[in-house]
Amino acid sequence: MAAEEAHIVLSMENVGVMFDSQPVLKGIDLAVEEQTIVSIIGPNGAGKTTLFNVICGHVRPSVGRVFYRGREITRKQPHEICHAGISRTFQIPRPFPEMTALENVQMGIWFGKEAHADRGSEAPPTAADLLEIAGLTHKGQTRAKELTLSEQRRLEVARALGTRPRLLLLDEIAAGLSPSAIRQAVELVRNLREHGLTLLIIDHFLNLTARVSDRLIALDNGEIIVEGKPSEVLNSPSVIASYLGERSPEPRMAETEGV
Amino acid sequence: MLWPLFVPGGDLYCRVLGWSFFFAALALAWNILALTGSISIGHTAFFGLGAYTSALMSHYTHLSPFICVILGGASGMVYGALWHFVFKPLRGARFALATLASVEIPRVIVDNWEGLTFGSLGLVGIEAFPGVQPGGMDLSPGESLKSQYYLLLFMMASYLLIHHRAVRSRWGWAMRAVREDETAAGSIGVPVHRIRFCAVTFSAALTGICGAVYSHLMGLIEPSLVFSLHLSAMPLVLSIFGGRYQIAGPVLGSLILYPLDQLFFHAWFPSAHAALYGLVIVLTLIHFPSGIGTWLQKKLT
Repeated sequence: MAAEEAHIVLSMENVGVMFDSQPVLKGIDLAVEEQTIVSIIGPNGAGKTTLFNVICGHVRPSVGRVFYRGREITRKQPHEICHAGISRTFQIPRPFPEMTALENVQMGIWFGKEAHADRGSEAPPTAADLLEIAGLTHKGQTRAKELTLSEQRRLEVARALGTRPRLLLLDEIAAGLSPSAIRQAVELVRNLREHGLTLLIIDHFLNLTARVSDRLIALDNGEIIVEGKPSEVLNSPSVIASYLGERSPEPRMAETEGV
Repeated sequence: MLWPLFVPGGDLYCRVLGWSFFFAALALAWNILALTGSISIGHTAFFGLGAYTSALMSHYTHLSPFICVILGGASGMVYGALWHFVFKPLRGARFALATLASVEIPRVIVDNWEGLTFGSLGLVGIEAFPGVQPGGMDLSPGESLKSQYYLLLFMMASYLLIHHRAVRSRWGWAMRAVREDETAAGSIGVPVHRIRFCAVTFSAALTGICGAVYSHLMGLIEPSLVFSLHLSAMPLVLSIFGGRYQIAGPVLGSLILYPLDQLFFHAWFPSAHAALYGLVIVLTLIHFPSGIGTWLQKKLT
């Protein structure tokens, strides 16, 4: 049991959030294992982004507790959670608009996890390295507000990686991307896992889920309705009912499209 | 900058330039908070508290004005810390309004606690700065305008140095991140509340020192003078005119606008100089939206 717990990066116990006395999240229990890719799916308003906000300290849960590597982070401030090793991107990208792409990434490097925290491991990546990973080398001197949506998304990933996270939360990175851009995103996500990261992904449009996830969590009305292997969850009747309404082929389409 | 050493007379220019340094310092102090994105229209609260704390300390304890000035800065700092905790959830216009309202509390207390503060009559005969003799020169800011000029020049220079650090250091980048997107800043590890706290207390302390220096230079203060909306608006106008995000923007604003008003508008239109002053500000806001400093920088590069 203890050995199994050691692999748990993130866990939530009975987390609930109320907005204006409306429950947005109810009784969320989950555990994310080290070096896995877990996707959270669900219709609009299911509480996916709120779940991210709770983990990152932007929203305080009304009840319940959140643990990161066995340490409680429930009432920590966002920057403390970042320093602990969790970083995120936002559904609507929030780069620092007046800074250049390079400066944005440098901010992550400067203010993220303390440099001494992982001394001994390989040298930390530079802002230029991270821009290259995000495919933005040629945009280094462009102000973030002048980048396209998909460039801003990649910039956010690079900035988040600059903080040297162990757990990365990606909110809708594949939404609105072209098929080739999605393929790149899939590759990026797999690559990050190879480098030891654990990833939690929100994927409303199921662009990435089936291809990269080890596990799926389906949310509806603020509750977890199904969780398990992608194929099980995507074909579970309750997910199809809540999420896709009458249409069922969408998840299968994601599978047949291939990578 | 050191021309008064060599030019005899010129009292008017000494006074006008000296006070434009003073307002530059006030604008720099204000801008340190504005760098985090919080626009305050209540900085006169710190100014008045600094002025009264320093003047009253000097009156009752006869401590050296230099020590009283530090205490004046401390009183501003305490009030700034209070702002931070009370105004924590406020942003934008609501924050600005709260800062404006917060001026009334110290003003009403000073106005009505006559036994301590002499109420709305104000304080007169505040001790002037004693003379100092750096390097054989005889400087007594209380008596000669030239000495006052150097004191204010020194004050502005130190504030400019602090402001330079506030823009260019890693703290400066953190403040910029908070200004551009507070949520994103927190998510990449910027300690948002600590940054905001430091900015407001620093800004308040420096403004308090301005008020304290003012009281010892003028020799008299009254509540309606040191808690006036004019003193709140002044740094805002000067900083925005000069360019808020430029290191020397607030200084530029002050060195242009204040002498322009005092030397020309006052001389030409003694009764309507304020209207002209207002017009210049409006025209600048329209044609140089990010300030004269930013425009100049673009021209030069």
